[in-house]
Amino acid sequence: MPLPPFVGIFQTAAELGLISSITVLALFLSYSMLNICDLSTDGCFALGAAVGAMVAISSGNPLLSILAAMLAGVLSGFVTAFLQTKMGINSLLSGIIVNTGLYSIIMLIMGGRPTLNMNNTDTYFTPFKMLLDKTPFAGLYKTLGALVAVTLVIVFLSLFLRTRLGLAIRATGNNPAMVRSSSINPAFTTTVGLCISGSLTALSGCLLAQCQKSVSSDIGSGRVTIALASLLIGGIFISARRKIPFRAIGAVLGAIIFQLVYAIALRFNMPAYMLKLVSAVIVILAIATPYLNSKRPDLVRRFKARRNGTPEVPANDGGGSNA
Amino acid sequence: MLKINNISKTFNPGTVNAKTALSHVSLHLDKGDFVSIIGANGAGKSTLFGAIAGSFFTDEGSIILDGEDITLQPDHKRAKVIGRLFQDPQLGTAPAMSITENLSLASGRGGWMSRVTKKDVQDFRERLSMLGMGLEDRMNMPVGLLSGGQRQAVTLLMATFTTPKLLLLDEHTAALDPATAEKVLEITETIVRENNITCLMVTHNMQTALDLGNRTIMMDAGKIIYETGGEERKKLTVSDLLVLFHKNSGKEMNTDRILLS
Repeated sequence: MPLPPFVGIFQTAAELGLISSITVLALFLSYSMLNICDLSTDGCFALGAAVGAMVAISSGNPLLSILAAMLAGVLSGFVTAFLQTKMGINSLLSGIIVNTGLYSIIMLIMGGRPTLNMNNTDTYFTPFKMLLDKTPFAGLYKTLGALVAVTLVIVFLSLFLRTRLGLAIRATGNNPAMVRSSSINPAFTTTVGLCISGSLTALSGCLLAQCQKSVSSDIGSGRVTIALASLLIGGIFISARRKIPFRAIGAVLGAIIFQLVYAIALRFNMPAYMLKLVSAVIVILAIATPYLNSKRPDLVRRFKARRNGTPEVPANDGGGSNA
Repeated sequence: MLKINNISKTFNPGTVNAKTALSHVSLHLDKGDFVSIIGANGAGKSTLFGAIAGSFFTDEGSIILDGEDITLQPDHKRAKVIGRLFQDPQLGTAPAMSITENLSLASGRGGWMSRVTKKDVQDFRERLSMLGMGLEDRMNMPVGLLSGGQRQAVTLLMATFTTPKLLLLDEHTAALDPATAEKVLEITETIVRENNITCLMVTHNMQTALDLGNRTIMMDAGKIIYETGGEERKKLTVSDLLVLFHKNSGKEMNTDRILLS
């Protein structure tokens, strides 16, 4: 059934937004909770896609492919965590190193081929297609499948972050010294957190590959920036003071809004390769705006002083900056 | 209870910045001892606490707590039996998390997958109300929104939630305004007395050092230079302490941060 174009845009945005929102939820755990910028996200996403595709093709069992992809993500997260907690490697560098190493592993898994095709393979979305077959909603089966996956992840995260282990992970990103004085090893909580976030990133990659019925080795490229942009957009709507389930929903909304803006831009003939520049600019704006806002009074004073050509004289109370 | 035998620590050994922060320090504490520690800046008081709490391993010597050798135990394991408070009220709590969540982590109750129960919350409420700061009505508020004194009181509650074998207080009231400092000190004294906690306290307030506890030690240049307790200590005044410091260290106590009253 052909849909009017604007419905098509919304549907594609919702579908891609929901699937990539699982990566955003992974970053919600590693970036917002653990306070670690995990740059292995790109590689981990592609790893999940490649492993999920290979297992789906060879076993024909979509459930098994998802479990395998998530397990691969756990391993990737474990290595990233091991490098930063036990090997003394800076956390950003750990992510970059794992990301680089994963490229070879992904090619190895894909048997040296740059793309894999799943046209004749049962995927995670196949049961949803059969469920909605011959109903008016038949075209929405991918959206439904993605929605179910995202809901499960949000429920899991909301419950998990309220457990003692979840609280310890949140505290690790907030004040590691306090975690140690509560007799909890922050290296352990960091490892658990990165393993879970890795498994979610890989799940997201696996679902995107199965949704598109193909994988290319560069499927993960730029994912960390896109996910960060979505996370920060979500944060504009749902503040960090809200309860965790709301913040997780905010992260998903952010991902959908990002995809929607992108889809609309495509309608206005923006070339597809501009996606990454757009996501880079969004991340810069979202992180820099609060910083520049806090600096604004100082900048304004300096600007005025320079325009008047007079050296800066402290105002009557002398309580301002010493710029 | 605590036996510190001949511990030493040199930071940056073999470089121009080498600094011997502890030099052959021995100290024995009996159960229920409350020892105040005084000394100039850089005397090694905080380093001694770091060595006991496991922030680093000592170069030599041993530390025995309640019969267990903890010399080479990592800090998070020692934290099970050692509570520690710092001067900076920010250090002891997770600011973005609520009072309940902070207390729940400190309580050490339940397995990894357990959650805060109604019974826990009731227990936390009762403990908070003992502080007399009205915090029991603000349990869901992020700790970051509390004042320094309130945060330090919550930290104290966390450090003593399960009665520790040893409590280390590193000038924990120095960053608070005088009235709040007095209040927090009062709460400290109550908790320590009621639970008969063995306690070491660094203070810059010479009068507090003499008023609180049953023993006082004086440190300088990484060594314990004077120790007093019992009847002898009861007769001491602040000026006696200054004279004793001069006699034992051969220099004046630097008085920029020392409070004489």
